[in-house]
Amino acid sequence: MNATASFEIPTLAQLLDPGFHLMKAIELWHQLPDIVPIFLTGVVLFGMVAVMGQAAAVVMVLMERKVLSWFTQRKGPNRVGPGGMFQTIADGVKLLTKEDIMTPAMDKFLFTLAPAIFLFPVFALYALVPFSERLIGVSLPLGLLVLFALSSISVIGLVIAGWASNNKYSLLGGMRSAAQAISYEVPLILSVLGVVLFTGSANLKTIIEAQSGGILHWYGILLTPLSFLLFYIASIAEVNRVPFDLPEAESELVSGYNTEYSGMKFATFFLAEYAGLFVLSALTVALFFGGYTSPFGGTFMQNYGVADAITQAVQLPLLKPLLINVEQIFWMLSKTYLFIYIAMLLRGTLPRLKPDQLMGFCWKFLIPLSLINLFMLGFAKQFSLSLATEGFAGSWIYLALAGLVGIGGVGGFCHFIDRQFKAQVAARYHA
Amino acid sequence: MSNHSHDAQHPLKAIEQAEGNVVLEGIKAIAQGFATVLKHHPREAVTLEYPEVMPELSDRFHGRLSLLSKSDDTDLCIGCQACARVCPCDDLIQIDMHRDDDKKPVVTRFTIDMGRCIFCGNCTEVCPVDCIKMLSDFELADYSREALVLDKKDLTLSGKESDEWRAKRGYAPTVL
Repeated sequence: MNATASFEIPTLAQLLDPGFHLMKAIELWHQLPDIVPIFLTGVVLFGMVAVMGQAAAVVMVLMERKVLSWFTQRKGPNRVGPGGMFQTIADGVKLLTKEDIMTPAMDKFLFTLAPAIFLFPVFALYALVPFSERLIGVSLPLGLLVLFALSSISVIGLVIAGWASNNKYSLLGGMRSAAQAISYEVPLILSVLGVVLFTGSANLKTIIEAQSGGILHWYGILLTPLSFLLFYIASIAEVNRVPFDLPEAESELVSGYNTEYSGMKFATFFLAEYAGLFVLSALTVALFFGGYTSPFGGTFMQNYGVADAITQAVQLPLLKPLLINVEQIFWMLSKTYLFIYIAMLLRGTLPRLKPDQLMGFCWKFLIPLSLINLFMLGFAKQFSLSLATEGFAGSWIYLALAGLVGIGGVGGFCHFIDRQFKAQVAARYHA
Repeated sequence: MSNHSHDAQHPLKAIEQAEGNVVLEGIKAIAQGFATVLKHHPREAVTLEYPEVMPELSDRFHGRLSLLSKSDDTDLCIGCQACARVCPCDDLIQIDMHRDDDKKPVVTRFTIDMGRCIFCGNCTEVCPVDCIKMLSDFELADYSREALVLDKKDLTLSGKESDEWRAKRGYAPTVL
C-alpha cells in the first residue's frame, strides 16, 4: 500500500500514451484488497452468465415462433422491428408491467419462491458449459455430475409452483413434471456414462478435447450414436418440450404448473424453460458433437495459421487467442442452435404422449436400451484398452462381445418390444 | 372369441398383423413426419398482411351496398320500393319518391342502415333496373351507429364508377 508514496505527476507524453494508463490501472488493481478483485470477477462472471442466459432465451423465443410459423407456412411475428426482431423484448416489457395476480387461497411465499427455484439452477448451468477454450465459467473435474445435480433441482420449483397455486390443474402439472423428471433422468445419465467411460473424465473440457479430431471423432457420429439418441430424447423430456410437454399440456391442464402465474413470474418460468433447452442443447453438442471444435478438427485459425498471420499483420499478440476463441464460440453456438432447431422440428412434427405412454416409453424402452448400450460400450472400451497392450490377436474377443451385445441386444430388445406391443394390442382388441 | 362383426376393418387388427417391427416402423413414421414438416419450411407463407395487402375478393362478394348511376351521372333508381319490401331487416332501406311533371320518378331520399344490414343480397336480386348492388368494400367500421346510416349521397356511385362496375361483372351498359 505505497500508492501515495510513489505518486508522481505524469508528463504530457505519458498522459497521451494508452499503455501508461493501462499500467497504472493494473498497478491500482494489484493494490486493492484481495476480496475486491475476487468479488468483481464474480460480479462480471455472474453478469455474463445472466446476460447470456437471458439473451439466448430471448433469441430462442423469437426463433421458436418464427421457425414454427415457417413450418406451417405463416409469417410469424413481423410487426415489431425489422422482421419482428424486437417482438420478444416488447413481450418482455408487457409482462414486466402486467399485474401480478395472486388469489387469497394461495401460499404466497411459495408461489413467489417457485419461479426463482426453477430459474436459478438453469442459469447456474451456464457457468459449467464450455463455449470456447477460455469462455467457461468454471471447469470442474466432475462438471457433468454438477450439471445433472443442478438440472434436477429446478423440478422442485415446478412442484412447488403446482402446490402453491392451490389449483388442481397446476398441482397435476407439478406432479407430472416431478414424475417425468425423475424417470427421464435415469436414461439421461446412463447414456452419458458411455461418453464418460470412453473419455475417462467427467470434465466437459476434457470430453471436448477428446473429440477435437474432426467429425469422425465425434462420439455422436460413429462411436456412440445410440447414446446420443437416448440422451437427446431424455433431454427433450427433461426440459418439458413437445412431445413430452405433459406438465404444461394446454389441452388437458390449461397450462399446467404455470396456470395461475402472470406477469414477471410467468415470464421467469418461460425464460427458464428456454434457457434450459439452450443448456441441454449445448451439452448435447459438448458431449456428442465435438463442442467448440470444427468438423474438420481443431479450429481453422490454428490449423491454417490464419490467427498467426493476422496477429503478425497487426502486431497484437493478444489477438491470437481472441481469434481462436471467437471461432470456437462460432462452432459451439452454430451447433447448439442446430439442435435447438431440431427440438423445434420435433415440436412441429410430433403430437403429445399420454402420461402412461410417457412413463412406459421411459421405463420399458429407454432405460433397458441405455443399459444394453452401456454394456456394449463397456466391451468396446475394454477392446480399445487391450488393443493397446495386447494387439488385435489378444483382444478380438472383446470386439466380438461388443458386436454381439450391440447387434443381438438391441435387435433382440426391439423384437421383444414388437412382440409385447402386438400382444397388448391384441389383448385390447379381443377384449 | 370376438364380438365384432367387422373384424377385417378394425384398425387395431392391422397393427396386430403388421409385418414390420414396431420400433423400426415408429422410427420410419417419425422420419416421414420430419420430412413432411421440412418440406413446408422453404414454402412461401400463405399469410396476407391485411392492411398492407388487400385480399383478392370474388366479384360476387357481399360488401357495402351502393346505388349505381347511369353513365351520365343521373339516377338509375326508380324508387319502386322493391328492395325495401324484400329486405328482411324491417325498415333498413327507406325510400321517399315522387313523380315529376313528366311522370318520371324522382327519388328524394334513400337511406340504408348498414349497421343492421345482414348482407343477404336480396335487394340486389330483386332490383328491376340493376341499381342497388354490393361492392367488395368491407371496411365499414365507424365510431357511432348514426354514422352507419348511409344516405343517398353516400350510396350513389358516379357514372364512371358505375360503368366500371358493370364492365367488370359483365352487365350491359345502361341505356340512357
